[in-house]
Amino acid sequence: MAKLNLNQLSKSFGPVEVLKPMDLEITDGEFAVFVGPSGCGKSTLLRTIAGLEESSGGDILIDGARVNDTDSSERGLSMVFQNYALYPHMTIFENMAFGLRIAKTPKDEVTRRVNKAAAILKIEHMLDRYPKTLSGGQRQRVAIGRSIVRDPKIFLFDEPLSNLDAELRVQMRIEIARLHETLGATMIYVTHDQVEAMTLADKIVVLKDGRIEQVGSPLDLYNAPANRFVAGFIGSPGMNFLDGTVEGAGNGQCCVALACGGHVALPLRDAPAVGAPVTIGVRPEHVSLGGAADEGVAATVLLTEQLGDETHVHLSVKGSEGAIVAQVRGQVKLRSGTGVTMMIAPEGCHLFDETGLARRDPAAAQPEIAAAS
Amino acid sequence: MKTRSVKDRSVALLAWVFMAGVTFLFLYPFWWMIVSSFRSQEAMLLEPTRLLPESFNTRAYGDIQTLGGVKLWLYTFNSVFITVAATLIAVGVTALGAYALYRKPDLPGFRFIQFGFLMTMMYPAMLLVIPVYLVVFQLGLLGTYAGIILFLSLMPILFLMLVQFFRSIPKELIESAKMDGASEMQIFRKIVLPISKPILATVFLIGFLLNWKQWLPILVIATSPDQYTLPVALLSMNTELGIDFQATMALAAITTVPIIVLFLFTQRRVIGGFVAGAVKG
Repeated sequence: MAKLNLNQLSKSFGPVEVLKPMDLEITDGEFAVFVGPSGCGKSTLLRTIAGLEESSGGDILIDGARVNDTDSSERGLSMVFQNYALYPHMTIFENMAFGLRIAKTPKDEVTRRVNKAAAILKIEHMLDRYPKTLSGGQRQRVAIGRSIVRDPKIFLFDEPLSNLDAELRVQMRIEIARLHETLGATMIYVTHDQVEAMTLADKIVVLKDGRIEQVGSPLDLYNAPANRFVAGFIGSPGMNFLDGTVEGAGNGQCCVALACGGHVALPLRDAPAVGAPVTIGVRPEHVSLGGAADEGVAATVLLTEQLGDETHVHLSVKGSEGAIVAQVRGQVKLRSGTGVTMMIAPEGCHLFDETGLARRDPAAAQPEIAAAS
Repeated sequence: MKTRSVKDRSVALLAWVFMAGVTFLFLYPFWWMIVSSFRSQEAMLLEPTRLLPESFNTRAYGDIQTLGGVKLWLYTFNSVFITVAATLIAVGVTALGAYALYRKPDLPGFRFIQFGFLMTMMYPAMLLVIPVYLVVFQLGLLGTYAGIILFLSLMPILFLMLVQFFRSIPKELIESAKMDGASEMQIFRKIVLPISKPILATVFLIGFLLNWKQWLPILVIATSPDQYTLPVALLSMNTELGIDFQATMALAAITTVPIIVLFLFTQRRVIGGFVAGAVKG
């Protein structure tokens, strides 16, 4: 177990700055997830921490010691790769023992540690087999086992579940979460799947274009996104965005006139100036259908997605480019083209200014939603 | 429908006849060589295109047991020894070089070296006669097995094939070994070489086939018939006093038949090796 600090860490490939100078702290035993769209630099960040890429600037500190110039094998890290990276000509036992044998660990100790890791991952019965005879999930388990055997200070996972089918991914996700609980080790996990990030992480680091957009717990990010990008990236289905203009502010409230018609009064003391263009973000669970026509926004049903216990209704509203999604409890059947009234819960609204930054009162980060969760 | 089927069959038949013709054109010289090695010179001149020998006249096989004062077994030994040694060195050295290029493609001078390798493949061998002679002479290796083997171990095609193969190894495999604490040499020895066994075998076979037929560099570097290989001995049978067709064909058969048999048994691997580079590149 160890803590990791990044101080102004940056990485460039030639003239391209892939990671802009960034600071980050991952505490002892924490499960941190780097998440972001393709090309945001999350894998490069992980590889730089691992020592597989050389940093261009700043410091990487593990337990306070600078490791920028330390060889990857001596940083006390282990990595699980997306494509498993198992040695095809070695048995599972040999794969797991490889690092220990390189380190000239006594034979008994190698056997003990491999067997212990195999027991944790329930792969004892396949130690004599070769990787090609295993399924994707089993291979990934072996890859994790190979990491455990080395007893690293920090576990690194580079999109480890991306090659697995949906069902197996859920199963492995639970196993990784359980493993984190069992080992209590510091883990850094890279994924583009925000569901994985939300379910696994103690701390999520959202990256975009080589820059950290926000760091926080999953619910912090969900309830109080720092900007429009994080708001749109975290949560599934994603947050809806509606353009509007501030038409009044005062008494801890900010009234926004929406371009699609209708008004929203948000609880917000630090409101932008009257007339300022803003964007209102609202999650699908805070959009409902029905109500009086003069209190809501007129919308047209585009399509409905039946999920059994709830229905996602995709709506088209005037002045909005994309569809607005309403998450409705139960099974609702609506024909496409049907006109409905869309209601927005003001307490579930987020306000983003012209630059895309969230405006919210420092003390009250969506108290109603936090309580509900 | 029926018309089309008849047309298809006719095309197939034509194609078959054409391919059979081409196959015959390629196989006939080999067959002629073997048949002629059992026919007397006179019979050969009287009826050169005969498909089967009148009788199995094995005189030539006895006559060629000693050629130019050197025993046939020595030529054979030289051929096998020089070919195997040169090919082993070639595979070993090019594998290391190709691995280095795969791991650090941006090292200064590497692209130039690779380009140089390509250039040597485009050069006609005849152009190299004088430079080869001078270099080997300067190195003091003229007239030695070492000189011949060293020259024949320069096989850029093997290097290019190995580079192509190494590039197909997932880089995560190497990185994983690196994080496991393995040194570059350990990664090469314990990870890359074992998974490269099939391509190494293929590359060795290709190198063997290419080196077996070499004669010009050996003729340049060797200073005595004691160092000649079978192809060079074959060449020396064409003397000022004339050609003994039967003996020449007998030696040609001894030189080529084993290698043809080797190729027939391993052709899938050899052709696969060439194609692998093209597809995976």
